[in-house]
Amino acid sequence: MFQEYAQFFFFLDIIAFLAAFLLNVVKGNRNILRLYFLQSFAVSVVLMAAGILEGAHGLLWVGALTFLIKCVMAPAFFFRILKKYGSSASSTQYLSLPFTLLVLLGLVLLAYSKVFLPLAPLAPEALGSLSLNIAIVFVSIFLIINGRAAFSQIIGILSLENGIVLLAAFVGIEQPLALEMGIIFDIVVWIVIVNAFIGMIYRQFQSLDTRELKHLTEE
Amino acid sequence: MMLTFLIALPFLAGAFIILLPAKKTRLIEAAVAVVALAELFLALSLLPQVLAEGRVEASQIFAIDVFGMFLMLVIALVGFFVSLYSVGYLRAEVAKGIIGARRVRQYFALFELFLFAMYLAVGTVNPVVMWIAIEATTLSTAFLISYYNKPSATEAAWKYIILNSLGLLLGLLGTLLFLALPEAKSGVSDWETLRAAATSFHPLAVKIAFVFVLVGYGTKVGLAPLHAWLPDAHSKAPSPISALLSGVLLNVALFAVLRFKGVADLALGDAVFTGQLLIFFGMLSLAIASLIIFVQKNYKRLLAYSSIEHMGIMALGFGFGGLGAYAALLHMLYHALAKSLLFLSAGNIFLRYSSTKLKNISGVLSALPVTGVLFFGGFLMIAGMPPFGIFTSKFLLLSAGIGAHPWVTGVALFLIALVFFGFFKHVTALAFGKPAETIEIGESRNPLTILPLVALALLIVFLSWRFPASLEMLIRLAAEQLILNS
Repeated sequence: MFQEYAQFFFFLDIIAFLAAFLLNVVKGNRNILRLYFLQSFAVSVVLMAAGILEGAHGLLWVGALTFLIKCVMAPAFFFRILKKYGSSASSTQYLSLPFTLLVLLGLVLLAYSKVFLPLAPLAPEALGSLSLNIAIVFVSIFLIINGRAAFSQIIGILSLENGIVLLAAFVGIEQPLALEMGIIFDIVVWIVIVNAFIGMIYRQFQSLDTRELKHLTEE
Repeated sequence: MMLTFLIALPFLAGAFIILLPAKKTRLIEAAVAVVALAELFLALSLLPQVLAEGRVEASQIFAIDVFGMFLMLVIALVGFFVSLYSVGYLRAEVAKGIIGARRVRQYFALFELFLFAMYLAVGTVNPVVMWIAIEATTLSTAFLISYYNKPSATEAAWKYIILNSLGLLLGLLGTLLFLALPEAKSGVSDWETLRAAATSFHPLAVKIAFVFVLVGYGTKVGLAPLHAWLPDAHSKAPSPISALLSGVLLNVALFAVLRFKGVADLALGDAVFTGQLLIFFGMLSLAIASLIIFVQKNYKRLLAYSSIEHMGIMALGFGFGGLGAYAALLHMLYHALAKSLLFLSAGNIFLRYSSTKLKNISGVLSALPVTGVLFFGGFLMIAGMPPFGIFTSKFLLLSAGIGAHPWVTGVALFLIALVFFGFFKHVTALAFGKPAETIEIGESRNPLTILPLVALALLIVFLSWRFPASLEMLIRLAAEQLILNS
């Protein structure tokens, strides 16, 4: 990444991390969606800005598409879901808030620990961002595990994906545009499919709380 | 050209089926059967060329080597039998009023897309395309797992989507870490260039990247403790889909792990680190399967846990290396065929008994004489009874481990014996005894629910008795490729 703009990129990375962190803490699905929007916006800006600064049209396109899908399409889909099933949807966690904060702290410390020091040569000029992106990955995984609502699990997966995209951007991996499009296409199909499943779950269980999904254990 | 056609054909078939009116069921069935036969023919036609040249390229992204060819043959073989059986199975379900013509069209369109994604995963030499393809297998099968629209099926499909998406994203992270290694960053497009750059990678960074790959793709392989989705998905999907999931998809995911293992071993200078990890996860899978198999109440879950056991055995073989890798590849082939036979027979049992609960099933040998013999025979094959092929592969695999890892091999042998007793207990209760009075006696008159199974059983017997030289050479070369990379 560009040295003269390093602080700008790091600032966007911090926004993405804070969004991932707060996703684990806030109550209410609409707040979760807003945080996801914010995180995705930061990711899109990183990609577009890098594309402009590097003169890489492919990266610019990927950034624009990311914005279109993650900041426009996905929130529109999810808002529709929340409007339809909002009354039953909750965003509580299995662990209490103090325990959740403790685990999050542990995960962030792990991301900054010596364990991942061997990855330093991947981005010697953006070491802070590398650790921060690994922290986004861990914190997002925790959201998937700790969230009781199907909606939290979906946002957890998408936040994890954002963390990986940021990591790839900061270490400077560039795949041909066709491959980037392939990954984005997979994500789009994934969003459409989970939307359909959310509807199916609600129709069959009258709830989006994953604790209600116990037909398999009762068999 | 042949390779491109082999990969693209199921996609074209899926698109064609979607465009057809749902009422044209016979045309859809004919398309599925023709595509299955064409795929098998194309895969077999490609084999001599791959054996002669070592690698066949269709483009910079699509090419296969001996290892990819081996997996492609497994997909084509299992895909052929499962396609034919699916036609008969869905006809029976339509006749029973369980599904209508629209659902048949939906099933076959997704079925072809699932096959396409697997062919794509093994037919590419680009790690990112492979990831896209494996992710596509998750997306195409989600609606097949929830096919019956029951709450338990939806729940199984949800678990499948979330756990596999999580796993595959970790797999993507591992993949990107490999591609981000400073020496690889410039222009890596395939495994060859990644392997060429591997010796200059930082060993600790490679270890971290491989752990992400193993945990990520290992979730899709069904290695314990990442296996939670597998018994649910396999037990809720229609039986032919369970056969494809168990017989092929798990192997495709293991293929991805082994591709990265080759790069990691070259970077680390030996196969100790990756081997030990595979041995650990293999043993854990064996242990969990051997304990849980005893308390199973559902025969499709029983088969699913058996798949976890066998993926564990394969992981052990690849972890042992040398002869173990050859044995594990042999095991992969025999397991794919025998497990497909078991799941397809289980489909016939379900069609007759309308239940997957073991307590509701008895006297299968009386009620369904041919299916009963095939199911019981399938059990003997999968359990590794001589003279069936899995006996040979297990024997070779354990022989490979006994020298360097005597304790691991001894415990593995004990666990395999435990699985046998657990499986035997359930299978005898299911096969023997008297069927309930409400159960109709005699095989179905639908030949497509029997003939593919008989042909598959005969193929397994033939391959156990006489292994074709070209197939033996393919497995040997694929094993050598895996070992040479180590």
